[in-house]
Amino acid sequence: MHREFNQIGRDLFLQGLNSSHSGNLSIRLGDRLVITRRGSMLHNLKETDLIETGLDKNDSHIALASTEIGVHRSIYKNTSALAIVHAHPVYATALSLVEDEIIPIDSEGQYMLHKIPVIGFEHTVGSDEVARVLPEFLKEYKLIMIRGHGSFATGQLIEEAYQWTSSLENICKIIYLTRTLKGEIKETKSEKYTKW
Amino acid sequence: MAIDRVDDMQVKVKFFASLRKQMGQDTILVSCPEDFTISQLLENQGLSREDAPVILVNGLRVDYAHKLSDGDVVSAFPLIGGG
Amino acid sequence: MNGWTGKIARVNLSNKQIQIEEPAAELYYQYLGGRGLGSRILWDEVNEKVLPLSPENKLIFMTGPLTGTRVPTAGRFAVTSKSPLTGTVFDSNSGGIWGARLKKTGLDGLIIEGQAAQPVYIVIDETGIVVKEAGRLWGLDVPETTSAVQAVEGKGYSVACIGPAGENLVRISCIMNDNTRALGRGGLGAVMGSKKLKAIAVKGSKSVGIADKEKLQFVLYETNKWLKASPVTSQGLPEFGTPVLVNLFNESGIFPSYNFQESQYDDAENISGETMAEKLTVRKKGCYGCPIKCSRETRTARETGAGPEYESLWALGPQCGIGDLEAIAEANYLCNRLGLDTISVGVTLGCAMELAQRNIYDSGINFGDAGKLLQIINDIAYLRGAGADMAEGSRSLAQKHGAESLAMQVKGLELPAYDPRGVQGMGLGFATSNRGGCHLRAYMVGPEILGVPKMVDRFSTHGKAGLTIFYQNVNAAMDALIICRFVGLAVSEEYFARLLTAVTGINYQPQDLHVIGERIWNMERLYNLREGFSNRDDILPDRLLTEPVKNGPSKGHVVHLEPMLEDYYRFRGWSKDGIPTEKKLAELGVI
Repeated sequence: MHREFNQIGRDLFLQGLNSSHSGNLSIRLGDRLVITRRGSMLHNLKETDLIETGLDKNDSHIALASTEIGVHRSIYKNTSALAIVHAHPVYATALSLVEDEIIPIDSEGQYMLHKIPVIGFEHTVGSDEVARVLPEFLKEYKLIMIRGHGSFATGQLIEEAYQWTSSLENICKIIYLTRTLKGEIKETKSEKYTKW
Repeated sequence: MAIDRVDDMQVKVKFFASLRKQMGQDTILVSCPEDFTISQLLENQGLSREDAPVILVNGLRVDYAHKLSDGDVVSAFPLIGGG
Repeated sequence: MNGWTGKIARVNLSNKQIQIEEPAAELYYQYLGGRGLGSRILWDEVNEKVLPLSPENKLIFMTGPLTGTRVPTAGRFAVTSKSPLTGTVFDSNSGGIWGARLKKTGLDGLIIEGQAAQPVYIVIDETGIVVKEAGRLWGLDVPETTSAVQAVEGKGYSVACIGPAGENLVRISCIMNDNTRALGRGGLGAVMGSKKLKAIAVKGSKSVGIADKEKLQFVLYETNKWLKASPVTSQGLPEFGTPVLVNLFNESGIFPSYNFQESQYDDAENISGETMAEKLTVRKKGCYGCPIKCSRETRTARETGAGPEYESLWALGPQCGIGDLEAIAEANYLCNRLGLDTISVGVTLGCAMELAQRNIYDSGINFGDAGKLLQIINDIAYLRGAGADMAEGSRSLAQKHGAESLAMQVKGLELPAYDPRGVQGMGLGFATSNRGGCHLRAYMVGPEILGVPKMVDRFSTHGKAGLTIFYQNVNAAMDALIICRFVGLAVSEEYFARLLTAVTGINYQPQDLHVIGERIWNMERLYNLREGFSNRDDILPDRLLTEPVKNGPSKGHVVHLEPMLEDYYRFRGWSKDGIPTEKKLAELGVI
């Protein structure tokens, strides 16, 4: 388990999906969960950076867990996710500031994600508001963007959630690049994914 | 210029399903240097990762960085499923 | 209503009454159809006092909201009943075209009750439902029955029927439809035989109501696009069929042979998908609305027929120490004609062979006796000689000779073609399946061997409980929709939820399908608990728990069931003894 967290944490950083101390990962083990330690560096996770605590009940370890554990718990309680990856992908975050939903224009992105909703929140990710609203979207989509903040992706395994995250950033880079290129985008089929 | 390479090891490579037609044979013996990886083996055989996404060495799943040992049996499969 | 027709026919063979009922909409919304609705109805109507082969047991034929639409593979149907082999709630589902035709007569399903005084068959079409006498049909095999019924009713009728095995109440008999499709497991053929119901012929062409045609068009386009793009559904399966798995599982050392005494088979190549494609396959075939076409039409030197599939190839082959492809194919054809479950037949034979090997009981058949297969299979169907004992299944056979541990079964259902000592998750799946030792409830070989959706360590127990539960839930929902598992190899619940929403007009999210699946699972668990099952029945044969694999890549391993089971109960929100808590049942709306 440590190896999985370590590997994915490192890959997230190397791919530029997180800065040095941002983002968090978790998995669910029935009525407990394992989440990265608050303030840990994802690209260099040690065994002591993995905090196991109750899904419903707090125990002493809660003091060490990521500040965003409330959201993770809420997602696990409201969806059948077994793993969550929260990242701050740069291009995706930029795009989320100008779009209400991100529609992939590349075919691989269309297959992976079809459509990524963007949700704006008044308060920070640690808040009750986010914990309440976010899971509702994750019942429908496996990855969503919080405007100006970052992505939450779910899966049965961390690697799955990581794949969606990585795919998201690819999608956003391609969108960004085509917007800086001169000439009309010749691919228009993507509009229909708004209805996904 | 020819590159000197000492091919110390021999591994058996078995192809399955559509790979057999693609490679034109079921089983081959490949001589290779020590620490040859699966990645290098595929390249050596003209196969891409998409062609052979499922690789077993002696029956156990390995990744492309896996280093081969003398006498290993490599089983290469395309993507298959069923029940 | 869209998707569903809203009508179920209740046919009582004792008093000859036929009623059309309209179940409450909530029931459809909560259980969808197929296996879901079947298990709910069984819970409501067939209690623990009912014996499986008595008139009080019911046979519930059920389609789903997607059946008969243009959704790929949407021709399937399920049959649910209390199994005479396991005593559990038991559903089996099948492809072909029967399900679509039933739906298009305007019915979602049928509940067959009671018992006819004399053999009968049922005809259902757009004009109504008629029960006819089947004296001339009784005794005929499956193809003969199908032709005979079509000769009277018309070629446009799709026929589901039993063969001599079901008539003789063989506990490992099955119901067949469209000649070569099987509702294979659990002895449902015997239930149908006990009711003296020989066949059900259906013909219909009414369109299924679609709520949002435009949305359906869109999602169908995406679904079909990915079925075509995925190499598994567009190349591997169509090209070689399920037998393509033989070599992969054999190379991985999870291919049991000689009644699970070994986990590889020397002559696997001879009976592999590659060899079959070369030597036996005539053409590929598909079910109603299926672009994958994983089925095979095959021929040996003497006969033609369908299959064998991966499981059948294994059960009648390496499980019995047999590597003669033609002999296996012909045994498979025979099982299809007589209406027998190939898996249960092969595993029961393997059990008998080991009993002989160990000088406990000599039934006259030993490992490797390819030449005796056809005779013994006939004997099982007609309850002749040693076949009569084998007809009761492996557990009964082994118990009779004081050697129960040699029966490779869980809850009475014979185990399929995977050695769980090499795939821990499969072990958990077999032990916890609500219908006994089954590979389809949670196909853990997916992540553990195929690496789909992602690779997990097959020898580790970590994370297996969570994954197994996930698949058990999702698959239960798929069995309620009903679509073929193979569609799930290319697309996920995101697609299924959107297809369901487009067809029914009711907003289903992917998460809703997980909840429905969980509900069905808990309903089935509750049923079994009422029957007297407990966590003591969530076990595996001793061999798999205590005898390490002798050779091959899985050498040295056993199944570490206890730790996985402990996690499993906890993760499901059940008590330590594996009983769904009131809280969980209330949350799911089961009680």
